[in-house]
Amino acid sequence: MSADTSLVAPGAEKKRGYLALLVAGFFTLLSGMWVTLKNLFRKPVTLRYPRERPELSTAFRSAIDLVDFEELGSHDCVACMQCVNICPSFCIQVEGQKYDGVKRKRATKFLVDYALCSVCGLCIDVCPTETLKYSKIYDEVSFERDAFVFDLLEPFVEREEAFLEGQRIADAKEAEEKKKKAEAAKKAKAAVAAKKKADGGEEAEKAEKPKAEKPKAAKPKAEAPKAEAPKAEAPRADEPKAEAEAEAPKAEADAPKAEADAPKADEPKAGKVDKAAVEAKPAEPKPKAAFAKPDSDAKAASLARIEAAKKRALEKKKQAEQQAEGEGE
Amino acid sequence: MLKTLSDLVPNVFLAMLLAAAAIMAFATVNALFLVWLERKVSARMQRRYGPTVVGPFGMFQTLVDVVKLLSKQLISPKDIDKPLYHLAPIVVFVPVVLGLSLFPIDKSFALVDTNVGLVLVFAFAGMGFIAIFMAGWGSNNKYALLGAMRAVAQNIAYEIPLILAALAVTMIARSMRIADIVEAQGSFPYILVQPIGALIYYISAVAETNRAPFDIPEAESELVAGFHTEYSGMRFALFFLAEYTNMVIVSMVATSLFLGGYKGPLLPGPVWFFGKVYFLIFVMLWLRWTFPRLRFDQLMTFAWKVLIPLALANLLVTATVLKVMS
Repeated sequence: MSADTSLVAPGAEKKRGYLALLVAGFFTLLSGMWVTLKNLFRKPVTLRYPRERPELSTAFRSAIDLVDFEELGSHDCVACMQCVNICPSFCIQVEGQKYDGVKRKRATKFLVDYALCSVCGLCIDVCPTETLKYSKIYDEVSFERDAFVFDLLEPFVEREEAFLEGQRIADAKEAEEKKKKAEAAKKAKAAVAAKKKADGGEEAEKAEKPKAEKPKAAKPKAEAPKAEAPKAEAPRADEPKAEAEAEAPKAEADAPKAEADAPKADEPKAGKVDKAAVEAKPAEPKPKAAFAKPDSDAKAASLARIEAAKKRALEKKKQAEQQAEGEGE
Repeated sequence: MLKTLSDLVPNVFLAMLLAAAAIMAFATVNALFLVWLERKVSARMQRRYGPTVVGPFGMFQTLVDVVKLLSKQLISPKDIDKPLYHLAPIVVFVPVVLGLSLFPIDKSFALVDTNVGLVLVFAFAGMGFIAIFMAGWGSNNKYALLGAMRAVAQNIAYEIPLILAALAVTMIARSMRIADIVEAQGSFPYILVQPIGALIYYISAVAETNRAPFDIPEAESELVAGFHTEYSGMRFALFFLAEYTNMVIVSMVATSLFLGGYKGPLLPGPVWFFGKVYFLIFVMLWLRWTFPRLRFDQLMTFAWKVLIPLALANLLVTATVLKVMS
């Protein structure tokens, strides 16, 4: 018989004798059995799929979903249409409505066609209220494409009435506070003006006092919305005002009303990004402040791109219309 | 004193009927349990769960499988050797049932007690291979025939060390009655006297049952399913049943010859007996899910060049020692 028919490697056979090989082989078998025995008592690694589900990475991307804010008791979509406009796959449909007594617009329809979605995440990046997130859907199966059109508002429908009611109360409160503040500011300015008139030499010193006070009050407010974006008291509505206030004091001396200046003071600072945002939703200037974050270079670029695309689309539309008219005639 | 079924039941035919019913029930339940155990053990060794859904720990999975097999169509291929083909599943099952009846499960009870018990067990075990060859030959299928030929060659090779190892034990016990052999193992089992003999017996027994790593007759990667390729439904199930019952029989022989049968402290005899048997069966499962299948030439080399010389040497030494001591 050739060496190949042996139970061991041909090289090893020459070195060791018959019995030594047998014993060595026996212990080799035992070591193999030890391995299987150890594994017999280890926990299975199987994930019993339909009953158990894997814990997905935080980086996992899937269809978008609306964030359910605890403080609001609902989502915070203001139907600004930015996600709709930025979406390269045209897979989002949003409609919004203004309610009496509620300051901001509210989404009444939010459809996402996951079959079209490329999971690029632009909508999430662009969302001013940060109410969009990735869902963890990964095993959606259907024979029909329509099954992938998700209605994101569905889980919120029942709570919508309660939310609106709460929002009305909060907005009313806020408006009142605003009024009070405005009055207080008026009084302060009046006092300053009076003092200015009375004592021209101390002007600079006195003018600094309200300057030092106001930013202190304004800053925490301006930072808060970034950390915990949507609050029941709607601090975001304050934001433009707060920023305006932070910058306004310089112009304050001449201005009779700080608040009236706010939008003006804000716009040059926000720059191009804001312009785009304003253009995208001219009806609603309030949330734009959230866009004025300086770290939005990429966002600015994408917004500019979207703008360009929109212009192109508009031109095309016009051309098409002209063509249609021409053909009609 | 050892009692048999014919002592307890005076009517011979009634005793036969009872014995047959008891053995069939045991064989079936045992096979159901072992198939489940096999799947469970293999799964856990591979860090899976195995069956979990049907019944507690999936124990009734095999029961459901049997229902499935019962409802399957029995397919007979073209140009088969009809008598052989149809007889094979029955013939493979008969010796298995006969073999089960020969073991004393307690000090006071065995279904059948004869003074040639050990010879009978091996004789019945040999008959099983005739059935396998009938199945392979009758199927008119090249894979089945190849599997059957391998089975027969393997059987011839491994039956020799198997019987040689058992022979050494009978020499020490001076009897072929299984009850006597168990009784002869006073306070210590024969595995301490015959360690090499026990090992040789166990390895040969695994080969006799056509189980991995010696499952060459039904090597699924080369021979589809070997000798039972062409059997479906309940016919296939009978082969399966025979294989698992065969495991029990060789383990019962090993228990009786080397591990002291029903003997053991504290617990009653049957518990010890079946505990030892199922431990040996567990080791068989363990082996199967640890080692890869041997090549055919390796199988033959191992039998003829390792096991048979060792078994002969073991027998020689045993005989010499016995002669010197007496």
